[in-house]
This record gives sequence, structure tokens and C-alpha cells, in this order.
Amino acid sequence: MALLSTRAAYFCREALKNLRFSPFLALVSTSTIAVSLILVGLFGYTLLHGYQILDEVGRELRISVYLKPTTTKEQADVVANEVKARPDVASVTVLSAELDRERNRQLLSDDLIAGLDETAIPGSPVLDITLTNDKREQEDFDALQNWLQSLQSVDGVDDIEFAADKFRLVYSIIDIIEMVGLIICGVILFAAIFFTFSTIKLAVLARREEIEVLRLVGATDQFIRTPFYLEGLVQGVLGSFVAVCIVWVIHLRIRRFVQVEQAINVDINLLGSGMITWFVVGGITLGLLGSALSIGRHLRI
Amino acid sequence: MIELYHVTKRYPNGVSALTDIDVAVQAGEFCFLAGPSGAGKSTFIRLLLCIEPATEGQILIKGRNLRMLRPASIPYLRRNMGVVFQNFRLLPHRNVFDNVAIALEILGISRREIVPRVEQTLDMVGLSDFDRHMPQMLSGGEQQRVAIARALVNEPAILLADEPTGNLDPTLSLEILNIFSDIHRRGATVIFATHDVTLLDRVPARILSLNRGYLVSDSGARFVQRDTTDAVPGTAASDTPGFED
Repeated sequence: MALLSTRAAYFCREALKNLRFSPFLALVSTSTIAVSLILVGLFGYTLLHGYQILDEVGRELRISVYLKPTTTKEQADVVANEVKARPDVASVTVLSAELDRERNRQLLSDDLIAGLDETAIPGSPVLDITLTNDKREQEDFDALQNWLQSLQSVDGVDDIEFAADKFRLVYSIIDIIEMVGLIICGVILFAAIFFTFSTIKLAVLARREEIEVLRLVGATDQFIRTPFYLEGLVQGVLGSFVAVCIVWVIHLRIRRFVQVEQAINVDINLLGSGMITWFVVGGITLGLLGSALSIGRHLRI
Repeated sequence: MIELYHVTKRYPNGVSALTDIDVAVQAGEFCFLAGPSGAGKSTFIRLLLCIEPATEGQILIKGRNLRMLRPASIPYLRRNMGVVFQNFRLLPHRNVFDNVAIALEILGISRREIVPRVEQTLDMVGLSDFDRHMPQMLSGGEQQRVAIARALVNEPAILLADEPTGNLDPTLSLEILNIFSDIHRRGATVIFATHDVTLLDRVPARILSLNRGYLVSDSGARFVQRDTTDAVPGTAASDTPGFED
């Protein structure tokens, strides 16, 4: 235990000494880690919530298959049975033209329909399809779209109302954002690792003579390397701390804005446990990765 | 203690730094490694320190064959050997105390234990009042004493010196040699490489003469009376633990 604490004290002293040697580069490295954590974190948060909203909407999708007015009850049942055969269909309700007209009438205000002839309100036999409450990817929407196109050609089907096209568009936009975001995040993360790498490299080069002496007096590889790992770790932790502070300020500002603009009803929690975990784990990983790469390259023992 | 069997060191460019060296140094011997520049003295020391491997032959230190030593065991071998170089190799950003203490810090010894041991060793080399000085504030002779203190502080069984007086004037050289002689009298095995022939008859010691990589003469062992009354750091009079793996 005494050995451990003696060693730990030595390693901490040496790591801090390394940081003091190139404070500017250490500052740049820590800042880059913080910025990359924030950007990647916020990007991930936005993307995740975008997908969550789409997922929730996607789970509650309904399809209306309008049948020709001349369709008989038997013909409607045939189409309904075909639809029910699909595994992603939860239920099918067959509505007559009168019931559909009634439903449409309820959607309109009394002023608007006052004095109108009953037949002026549209109404046709319709199949109300509710899909199963599953998560849907873009491919699922493509498959649904293909199925609905084939359904269009079934005898008795007049028109199909489904918002899949809009969903596909949103998914496409999110895909583009995801792709561009991933590239930007990749570049930023690379920059963070590069700056940590450079800081450690300078520390290793500056202490080359000392490292040589340490080897000669019997220091093990681990003993020589640990302060440099610790230096990367300190930079990562500092970067995490800065990131948490900045996002906390952003979080407070957004909340204040949401409170003032009462029309906006959005629950935004930028500093959830997931985000804090990302900052801590991400910061430590970036710092250690930068150190490990630099030590592997410049401290071959 | 140290045995070399037909040791040859040849560099990739074809130059042979040592050729067929066959010698054994007993525990407690003081051994001069004499010869002009390029004789192979430094290579001899470097092979013992495992800084580089021998091309041919076997080297045994305390019965352990260096060729069989795993890389991870080399640091533990070096902890049994103190080493002093011509250019001192002190760390410029550390004061005298810390330069000496580093040899104990790697062993994980507590600060409380390090302080008296370093002070004792600095006292032994006559630098007790210089512990807070930075190396660049010291003369060449004083810097070399710091390097000797660093080599001694963990009480190694073997002390290797590669031209430790090479940068010093004759008076300082003699002072440094006397420190080594003191250390030897307290039980350490000393190998002292030098090109300065005037030092060779200053202390009773075995002289191994090297020339162009060949061992050209060996005066044979000359033991001196061991002084066991003053057991201070650097004596290695006590048993030194073997290498750890």
C-alpha cells in the first residue's frame, strides 16, 4: 500500500511537471477535447431525439384505403383479409360510406356545413389500417410503400392515404445530417487525439535524456510510461470538466428561453446522465488514446 | 560475479568493437578497464548494462546469463549495478537531492526513507551542503560526485564507471578515483574504464587492457582488505537481492 501511494505520488508529480513544460499545447489539447466532446455530444443528442420523435410517430402510423363507392361489403372484406395477412398490420376496420361521411362531418365546423346537402360531404367505404407498434427504419417504409402500390391495383381500391413519402423524406434528411455530422465529428475527434498526441510527444522529447537515465538506473517500462499516460488522462478529465461546464451554461440558457417563450413546449435536458457519461468516458478515452499513440510511437523501449 | 565467455560485439557496419573477450571478475574486485579511445571500453560497459547485446559469446552476471534474460527483467538487473558516465548524465531540471533520489524512487521507496539515505550518500561523496543546488551550479568534479552518489544510493553490488574522470583535471580525477576506491573497500565490485594511464597505479587494482577490441593483457586480481566497519549506502557489503522477473 505504501509502495502504491509512493508510486502514485511520484507519477502525479511527473505528470503535472510534463503539463507545466508545455502549458500552451496542453491548453489547446484540453480545449480541443472539450470542443469535440460538446459537438459530438450535442450532435448525438439531436440525432437521437430526432430518431426518437420519428420512431414514436412511426409506431402510431395509420393507413386509409379508400374503396370505390360501388364496392360491396364482400369485396371490402376480401381486401381487408388481404391486408390483415401482413404481419405488420395490427388491425383493420371496415367503415361504410355513411360512417366515413359521418367522421368527415365531425371534422368540419357546424357553421361550415350548415345548409349543405348531405351528399356534399365526401364519404366512401374505407379500410382503416393500424400498423403494429414496432420500430420502423427507412427500409420498412420502402417496403410498406411497395406493398401499398401493389394494393392500389387490387380490384375495388380507389385511393390510399399514407404519409410514408414524408417519412422517407425526413429519414433522407436525417441520413444526410448523420453522414455530414459523422464526418465532422470524426475530424474533430481526430484533432483532439492529434493535439493530445502532440503534447505527449513534446513531453517525451523534452524528457528524452531523463528517460535514458531512468532506464539506466533500472526503471521499468511501466514506471517510465505511466506519467505520460497520466498526463493524457488529466487532459481528458479537464476537457470533460470544461465540456460539462459549457453545456451546463447552454442548458440553462435554453431552459430560460423555453420558460420565456411559453408557446414552446419542449422538454430539453442537455445534461442528462447519458451526456455526462459521454463527457467523462469520451474525455478519458480521447486523452488516453492520444497518450497511448504518442508513447507507442515516441517512447519505444 | 561477472563472467564473459568469448564475447564479441560486431556492429552492422562490420566494425568489431570487442573480439573474443574471455574474462571473469570476482565479487569485491576493483578492475581497471584500460585502453585508448576506440579500444572497446565503453562497449564492454554497455554490454554489461544490457544496453546492447553481444553478437557472440555469453555474459553471466551473478550467475545469470544475459542472453537468456527477458527484456522485462533488464531493469531489475540494472538495479544491481550502479553506473557513472564521463558526461555525468545528471538531469538539469532536478536539484542534486532529486538527481540522487531518482534511483530510489524507481524502487518505490517512501520519501521518508529516501531523505536520510540520499543525505547519507551525499555526505559520503562530500556534497552534504549541496543538496538543493541545481547541477549547472556545480563544478565538473562536483557533478561527477552527484553521479556517483546516484549510482551508489541503492547500494548496488557492482559499480560500473565509463571514463568517469574523462572530463576532469588530474587533481579532481584523483579525488574521484579515491571515492571509488573507498566504495570498493566497503565491498563493492568496481569496473573503472579509463584511458588515463596515470590513474592505474594510484590504487591496487586488477588491470584489464583493451586495444582495438582485444583483451591484450590482464594483470590478474589484486584484492585489498575490505573495510566492513563503515557500512553506509554504497558499500554493497550486505547481500544484494538477485534479479527479479
